Amino acid sequence: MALLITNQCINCDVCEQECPNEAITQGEEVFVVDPDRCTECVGHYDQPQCVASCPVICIIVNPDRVEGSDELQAKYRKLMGR
Amino acid sequence: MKAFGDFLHHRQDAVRRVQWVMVAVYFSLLLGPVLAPASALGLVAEAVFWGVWWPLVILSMMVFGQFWCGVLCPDGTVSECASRHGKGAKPTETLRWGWWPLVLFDLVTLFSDASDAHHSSWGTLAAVGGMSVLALATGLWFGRGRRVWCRYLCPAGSVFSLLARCSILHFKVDRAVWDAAPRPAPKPVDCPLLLDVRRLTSNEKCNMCGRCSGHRGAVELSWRKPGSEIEGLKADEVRPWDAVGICFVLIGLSFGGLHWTGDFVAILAVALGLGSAVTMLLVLAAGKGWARLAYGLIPLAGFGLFLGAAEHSLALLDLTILLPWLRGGFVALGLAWSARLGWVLAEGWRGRIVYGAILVVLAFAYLFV
Repeated sequence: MALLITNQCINCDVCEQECPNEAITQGEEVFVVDPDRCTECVGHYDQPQCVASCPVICIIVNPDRVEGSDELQAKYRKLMGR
Repeated sequence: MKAFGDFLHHRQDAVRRVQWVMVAVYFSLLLGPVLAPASALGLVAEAVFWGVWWPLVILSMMVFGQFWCGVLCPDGTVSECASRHGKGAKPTETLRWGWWPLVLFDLVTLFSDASDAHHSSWGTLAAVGGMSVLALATGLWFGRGRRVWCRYLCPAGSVFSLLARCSILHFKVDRAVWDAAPRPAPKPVDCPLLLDVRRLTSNEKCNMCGRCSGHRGAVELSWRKPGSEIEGLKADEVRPWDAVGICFVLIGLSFGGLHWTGDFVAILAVALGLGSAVTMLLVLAAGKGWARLAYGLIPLAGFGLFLGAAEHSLALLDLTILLPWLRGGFVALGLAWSARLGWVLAEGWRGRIVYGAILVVLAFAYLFV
């Protein structure tokens, strides 16, 4: 599953810098996650770094992008060119 | 003004030193009279807390915004420090309930006015010190070096956030400049209150600590027209707890607490009676838009609160002879300011006439009761 940033986001810039996949960018109102680049940090860390670093509770699982760990691993390999 | 905002940003080391001096003075005045009841510390504490701090802080909120909170408040300093070393939990939905500050303010005010805590060192310790303990506990549990207490719970914040909407200073954010700045930002924006600085348009919760000043070259301390934030208030920016707070607390409870000190039932009756009357008249003036119109009353009600606090100060200084002059000046100013806001916020002649009647009744109450 990719992650999703809700409107509770406070635009603090923290998550953008933490994302190892460069999947997070500034959107019109709040930061947005590119679901094609988000691996929930699979391949990099044990837990999503954006969720860990976010000072509020505004990053949830994207209900429109349900992916298993194998798919996330495959996405990670594709992003890394392996 | 920009230079002052940038100074706050760059010289946080100096700000921190001032904050800890404030903490030391605060706890000395809070605990000193209890530990040494025979000393003169009790009188000094009463004069400082209720004679100087309370009226001046009310006035400063209305003119300059919440600088007190962001730069000087001991509770905020203690809570933030605790939060650096505490559990670091994120603020939950329950904690973020918008009515908490108002509920806590009501409880503290009812307790302190009904028990006449102002005149007792133990009463002051319970009313003021109790909040400090809660601020510390909140910091130990929530946030990572943030001021979760100030943002979501502080009782005084319920009134300060109303008064600060009037102020002539604010941290102005140029969103176009913010968005055009190189990405990613060299460092995250530093807001201890966890505000969305990029979309910040209100003084409601901004503690004016200055730490965001200059971020991305888009944030700067600026002047603005008095009351411009209230004039430009959109329907979806109106908070129900603000409207209730203006009618029942800023007007009702403050008035009841001032004139019927020591009588819990009378204070509650005046708060509910006066608050209900103002609310009904606002509904008559603006129908469903009553809550937005309520914001127009903040200047007059704020000065009313200030006068109530100043009355105590003048009594302590034995200068009550000045009270009629002080009342006349501030009520006239509040009346003109609130009338100006009502002219913009109210629609149609009926709305403006009823709103004007509310102002006249309140002005008479502040002048002659």
